[in-house]
Amino acid sequence: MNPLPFLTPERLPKRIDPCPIVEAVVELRFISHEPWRNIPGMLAPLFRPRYPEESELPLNEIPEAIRQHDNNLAWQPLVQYAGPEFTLRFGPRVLTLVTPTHRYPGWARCQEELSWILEQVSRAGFVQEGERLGVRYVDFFTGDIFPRLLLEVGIAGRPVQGLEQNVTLVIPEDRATARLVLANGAVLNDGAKTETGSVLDLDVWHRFSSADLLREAPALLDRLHSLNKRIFFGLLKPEFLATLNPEY
Amino acid sequence: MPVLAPAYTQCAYRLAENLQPPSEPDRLAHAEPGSAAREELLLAKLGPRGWGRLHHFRRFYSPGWGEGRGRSLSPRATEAFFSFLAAARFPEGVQPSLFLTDEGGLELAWEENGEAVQVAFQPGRLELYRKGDGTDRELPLQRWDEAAQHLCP
Amino acid sequence: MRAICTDKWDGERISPSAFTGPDTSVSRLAVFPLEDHWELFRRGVQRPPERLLSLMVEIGVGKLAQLGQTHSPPAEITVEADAVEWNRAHAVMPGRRSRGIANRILGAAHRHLPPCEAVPGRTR
Repeated sequence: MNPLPFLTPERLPKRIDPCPIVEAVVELRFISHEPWRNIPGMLAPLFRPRYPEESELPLNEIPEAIRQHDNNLAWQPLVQYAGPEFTLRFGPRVLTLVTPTHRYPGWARCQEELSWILEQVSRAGFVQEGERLGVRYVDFFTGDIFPRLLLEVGIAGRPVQGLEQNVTLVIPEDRATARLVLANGAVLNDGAKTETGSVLDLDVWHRFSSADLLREAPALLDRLHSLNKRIFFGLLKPEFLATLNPEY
Repeated sequence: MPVLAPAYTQCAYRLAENLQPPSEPDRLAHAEPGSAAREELLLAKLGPRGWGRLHHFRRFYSPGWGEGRGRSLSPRATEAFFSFLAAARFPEGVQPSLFLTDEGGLELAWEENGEAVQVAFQPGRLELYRKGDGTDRELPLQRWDEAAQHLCP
Repeated sequence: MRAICTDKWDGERISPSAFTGPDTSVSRLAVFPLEDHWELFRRGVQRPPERLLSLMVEIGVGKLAQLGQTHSPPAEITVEADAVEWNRAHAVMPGRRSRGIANRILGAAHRHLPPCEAVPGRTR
């Protein structure tokens, strides 16, 4: 068992304000015995009642051979079903549930929606095996995030300050893996406005190889969510956290 | 502020130009996050040929490959394969061959004293074969340790 | 005749799972001659650039049956005609076969390299 390589707070806030979450993404990677061309037809009738707006994503225009060759594209979704509360995206090997930009509804609501989605996916029967389950939070802050974190980037013992930085860490924890991306030169376009600032992008996943999604996924997702939250709050300096008005 | 061009990957933000990673040189590929140790194990036990083949099998063999009935590489089979690989000690100087089975499993084949030894990691079972002692049997997938003990202690 | 593509051949060994099944796809020389099978398989089973036709292996139906009968425990090996759109000569060896039998089939089969690569001494 690998514990986290840094301390996390004993008490975690239930809520912070202003909430920096741009979006939360729950991702299920899977393999299917069905060719991709059949899958959208199986999904549409199941999801249409809750997710009425169906559209193809730009990646769908790129030939399969090119998508498969590119690590950044191979596991990306190709179609999208948008509903009033969440957006669902599907690809040949991936399903993602995305919360609306800047309107995170809370983990309890995400869980509720996920169990409905997993039920539909299970009914459709195209998932042969799960491959990976992940919970990712993208947080955005105005200004430079680095001085407000307990993590330091330094050269010869002296912290690097005021430079453009993009840092990626991969943190193993037990059977989960977390990938933390920190950048102080991010551009956010939420549809209403475009702004620059810092991003804290934390993706936590578990290699998962099960054919029984309904039974195993909910508990695993809960664990991944807790781990994501522990890492996030473990990174913030207490004085910075205090400015976010934590509610316990 | 320029309007952002439509993204091919669905990400909520973009990095400023100076922070964007340079394009990957042809001969360099980043390991998938969290899988560096597995890449190392694969290279050490199966060499560059086996390493490349596994990546090919994982990426390019979609459902229906081959004559229409091939299945994608099973994550369960892959997990058992890596566990086996970590425990297995192959004869000195021998680099096993790696194959993809039609059922979406992985198969290793090598020789011991000139005689064939094979293990296949199918989605729900292991297939063991060693010509020298007449081994030709199946085990549940989770008993990869027993397979490693028997075929390459 | 069985097509061996890159998933079952790594330049050194042939995978015995080429004959374990389930329902192994083969083609009958009684319908098309050997030379025509290269083109047939290239059109029917190759998916370049990732899956390429590497070899063909040839074994008679009688030999297959004999290998099954003399194996311990004995097994029935049959070949059933199953014409498909891309190949009138297509047939299947129904069911699954043990690795022991699949290895004996491979040992008894005759290997053919693509015509342009047929270097004396490399196969057969």
